[in-house]
Amino acid sequence: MRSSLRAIGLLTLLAADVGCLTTLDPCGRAAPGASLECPIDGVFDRAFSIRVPSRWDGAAALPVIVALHGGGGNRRSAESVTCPAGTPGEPGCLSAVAAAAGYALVLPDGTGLRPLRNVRSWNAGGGRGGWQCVSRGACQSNVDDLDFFDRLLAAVERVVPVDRRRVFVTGLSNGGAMAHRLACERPGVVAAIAAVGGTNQHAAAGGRCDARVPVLQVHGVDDPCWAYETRTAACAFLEEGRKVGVDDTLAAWRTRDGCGATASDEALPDAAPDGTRALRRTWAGCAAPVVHLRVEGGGHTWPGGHQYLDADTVGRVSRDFNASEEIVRFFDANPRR
Amino acid sequence: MRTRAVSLVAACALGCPSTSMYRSAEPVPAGRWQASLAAGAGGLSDRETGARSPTGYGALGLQRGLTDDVDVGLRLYTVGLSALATVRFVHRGPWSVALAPELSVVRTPNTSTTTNAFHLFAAATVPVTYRASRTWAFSAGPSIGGGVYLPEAGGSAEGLWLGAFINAEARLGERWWLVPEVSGYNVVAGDVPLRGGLFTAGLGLRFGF
Repeated sequence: MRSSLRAIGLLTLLAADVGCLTTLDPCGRAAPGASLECPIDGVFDRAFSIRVPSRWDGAAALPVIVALHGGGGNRRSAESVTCPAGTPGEPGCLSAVAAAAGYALVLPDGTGLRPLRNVRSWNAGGGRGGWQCVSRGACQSNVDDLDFFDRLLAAVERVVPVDRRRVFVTGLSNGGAMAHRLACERPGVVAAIAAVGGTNQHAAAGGRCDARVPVLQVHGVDDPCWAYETRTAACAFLEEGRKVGVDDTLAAWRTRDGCGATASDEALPDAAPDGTRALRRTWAGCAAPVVHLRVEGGGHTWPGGHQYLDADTVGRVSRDFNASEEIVRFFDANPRR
Repeated sequence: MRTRAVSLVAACALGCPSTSMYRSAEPVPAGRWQASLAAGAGGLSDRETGARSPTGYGALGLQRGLTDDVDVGLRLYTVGLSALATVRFVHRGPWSVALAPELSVVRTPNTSTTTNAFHLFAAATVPVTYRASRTWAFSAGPSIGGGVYLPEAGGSAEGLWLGAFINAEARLGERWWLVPEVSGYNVVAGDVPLRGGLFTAGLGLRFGF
């Protein structure tokens, strides 16, 4: 009997040792070129990654881009989806483009589902008046992602000095919608946003939004997950309710940002034979710029980034331009005034 | 607004306790071993998020009879490991009643769906078995359990659930038993492994030696 118990106890210990859990230590001050994974004080099960530019002098306040993953993603997918082959470290990734331009890139986690805790989402709005509660989890649980954002920035400031005039937010899909919500509800913090494949569901569903914030909207006309027009659309989840379209979202931003009625269009070079064409539309007379990159033939994807699911499911990735470069250029031109 | 999720994956393979039994209140005879193989499928739902998903699991077990009324064992299920025991405290005629505690640990890695985390579970089931014949036995019982989720990002989440199982045990020859079973639980406090419930149906095969 004793030997049986001993054998079972030994096997239990061996199996439990399949991998000891190492928790993330609080991040201290980062060095130039550092790539860190950091917990956030007072926040359960949500961490952030930070990529610090190597040409930083270690002292000057850094401009920051917060990149938000799409629904069902996490902080790692927020980075990989921007990379041509889905591999962080590639030259075309947002992390590389941001670092080259001198930005710290912050990639936070949304709220995890249960029991699949790394399938995460943002409370980007919706869930009333027939508007879809986008990406379900955090929206349906009514997670306070504004408080999370405040805590995130406080945590980032413990790692690098932050140039408070140049805090920008970007994201794909649910992350893009969250960028819109942050522009609406944290206009004193967020200098400008760039949303890819996600629009202002928060405002459409009646959420407060009277801010004046520069907006770049990148959106595929053939997006099957977040349709270009206002209507029901979903690809990964069968969800009911409408998602607000690009025209409605940008019309509202043009009003807030004091734009005129006229716009100028510029066709981007058809650099790759991928069946997509991109058009840059810039509205005139805006107090805060509103720019739209309309991707004909483009899907629910990050232009220049990774084809993370097959094109039949999420549509095509445009290779005509790199959204990361466009976004960083837009942010460069729009510090908070 | 009603939201209906499509199935993502067999979700509870990746962070749920095994609440299946595939055994009875009758311990493995003293000095004997019993190996088991089980597989099941079912569904889970989370009340708060409305997430619904099919779930499935597979389990390999080994038990050793220590006395007439006690056995201990190990069970490897999907991505977890359990240490379990059966302690029979009532044995009258065809009836047996036991306490069946189980301690489980699930280690999930950082993937697109799971976090780098430990999931620890403790459960106690009270199987009541009626032996109808040498060939047939029927068991059912309530269970109570709790779990802790410990992710790398720090902090923890907890949950407490109540569940139940029912199975039939058919003896096939001298050494084999076939055990169809249904089981389920509902989380009554906290959110580990979810804020909702899980139901599974499956089939177990046991071999004595």
